[in-house]
Amino acid sequence: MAKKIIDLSSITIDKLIVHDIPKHKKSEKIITPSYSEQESSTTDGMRVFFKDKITAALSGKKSFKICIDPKKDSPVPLYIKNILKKDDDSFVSDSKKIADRLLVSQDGVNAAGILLVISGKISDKNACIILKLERDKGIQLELNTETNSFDLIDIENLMLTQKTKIFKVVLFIQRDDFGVKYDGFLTDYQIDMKAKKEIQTFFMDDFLGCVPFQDPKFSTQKFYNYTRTYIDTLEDEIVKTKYTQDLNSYIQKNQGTVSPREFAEDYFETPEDKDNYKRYLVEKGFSFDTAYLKDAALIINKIRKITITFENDISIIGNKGTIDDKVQLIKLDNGQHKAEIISKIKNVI
Amino acid sequence: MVIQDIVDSWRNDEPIYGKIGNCVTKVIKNHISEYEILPEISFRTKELLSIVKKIKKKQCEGAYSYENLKDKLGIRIICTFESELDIVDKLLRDYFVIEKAEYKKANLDFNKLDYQSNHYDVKIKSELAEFKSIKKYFDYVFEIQVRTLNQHAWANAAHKLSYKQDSDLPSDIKRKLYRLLSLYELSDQEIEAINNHLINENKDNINGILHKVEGKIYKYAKVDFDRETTLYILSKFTEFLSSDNIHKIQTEIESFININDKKIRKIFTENKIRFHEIPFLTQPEIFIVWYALENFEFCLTDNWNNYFDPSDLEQIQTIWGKNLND
Repeated sequence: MAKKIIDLSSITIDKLIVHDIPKHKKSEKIITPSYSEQESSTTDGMRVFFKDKITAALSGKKSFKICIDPKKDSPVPLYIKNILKKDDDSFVSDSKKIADRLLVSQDGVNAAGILLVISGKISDKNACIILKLERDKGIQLELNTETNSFDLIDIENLMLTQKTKIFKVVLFIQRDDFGVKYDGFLTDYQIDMKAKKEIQTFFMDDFLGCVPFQDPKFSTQKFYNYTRTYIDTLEDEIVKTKYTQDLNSYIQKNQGTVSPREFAEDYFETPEDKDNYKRYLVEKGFSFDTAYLKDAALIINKIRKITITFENDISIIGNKGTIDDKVQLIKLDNGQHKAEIISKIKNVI
Repeated sequence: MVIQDIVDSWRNDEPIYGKIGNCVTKVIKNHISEYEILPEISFRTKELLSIVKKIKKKQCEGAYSYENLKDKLGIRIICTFESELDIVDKLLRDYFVIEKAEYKKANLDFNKLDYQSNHYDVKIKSELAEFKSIKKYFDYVFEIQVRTLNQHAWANAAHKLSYKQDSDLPSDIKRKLYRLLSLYELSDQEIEAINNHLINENKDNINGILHKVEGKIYKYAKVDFDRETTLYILSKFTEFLSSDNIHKIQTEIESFININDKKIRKIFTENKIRFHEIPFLTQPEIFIVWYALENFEFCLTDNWNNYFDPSDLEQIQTIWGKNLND
């Protein structure tokens, strides 16, 4: 089956329901979410607003592909499947059960939140979108015509503003609709880096019952290899050296994902380099606009050190982040390169 | 028919013609933009006094009644270019039953100068879904006049001067009138020629790009745009985009828009309620921004903040979205 485009601009929101998930400790068994018993009514303006927020979150640098894992004990995939089938009668009850699971998955560390479950479409195919938002407070200005001055009014239950960033959003699709082997896309800015060995989030793992589409070890390796190959196509050896070291540094950063877009934006020096990199990855079929959960196990030896070998058989070996800072590389008019190191010789092997 | 009968008939008919005028104007406005033109379209129902006067005047020439009067509702379409008259003609034939069509220019001898415009006596094609709300008025005849801006200017002036070709004016005044009329006709042709030149000859400059996208904003947003803003933005684009990229825009923008037609339609329909919040959406350069985002994103985004408001680009990018399975 030919791949059909999953175009974020084509999202439509058909139904939306909101449930309130209180903060609680695991020991507090009797707490339940505050449920909505019916769908929320929304205006065209609200739907466009929600769509903007969802699109911005999913097209960011932290969105990655996920698969439902039948081995996980979360019941949420079942309810999601119902929603994807557009089972109108069970939408409210399914969303309530999803809220129940979120409550169970959260512990005292997780903030209280608002759960939004959306039944809609993307590229004319059924979609289910789930957002977790945090309740906020605000102050509103209101002009008092009697005193001709502004009154300040407390707003207690602020859900979403133009500037609010959505930290957790997931979009589910049906594989057959798009000819893909994954079930959706997740953006989670709060991936737990403490559980570094097996990167997990309570939201993806315990709540949604999902796993990353690709094994993070392989996707990180692929990202590294493709990016290195692209960098090797560049003509300027000094730029090539800088970008290679940047890549090593980027992969060793203390964050749970790698993203080609993020790498390009943060490290490539010219827009042309960024555009060519994007084009290169798209040609290779490696998504530029999704992130990949990071596990550098398969490339750790490549990224720890960088070696520059000159034609005269002299090599310079540097550790993480050292070449750029401590070796000055200059291109000479005759095409050769001059490397300058100012330091004290520690030892000779 | 006595005057009271005319008054009674018009009291009954006037709101109906008003409804027809409203609906027909909307339908024409909506569909004509598909042809990437944006003529001025308006309607009026005739004043009771004008109806009475016209019937009385016509009755002096022969039998004439209230029913014979076809312009109780008049719809006027004023086009910028003469060639647009043919486009409107095609659209009118698609949506209306033409009872009578009068192409005044075609009926003029080569050595005659006179008022030129197309007049149609029409009825709605009631089977069309667009006319569902006025379906029951399928047998109401009304008039549609189609003119260029120059023809309109001449018609207005001639009306004020009460000019008639056969009037007994001194020959020097007649000569003045004929000279003036020929200028209007020439002006229409020259404007058309200049427009064609801009479209066909200046392909590699700002005007060339603008001509490729301006009609598209009529088609999708169905509103007019601010030309000064467009020219300013396009001139800034040429400062930071390479000539290679400008050439790509020139050669590929139309096919890009066609390929993304469905997506673009959805975007405009969905965001119509907030055009005032995102004015960029009603400017033709929006298509160039979207094209650039797809083809040389960073050449655009890395330079944007030096010239324009970053929040505009953020909003435009969000609306355009991303293909997640690229």
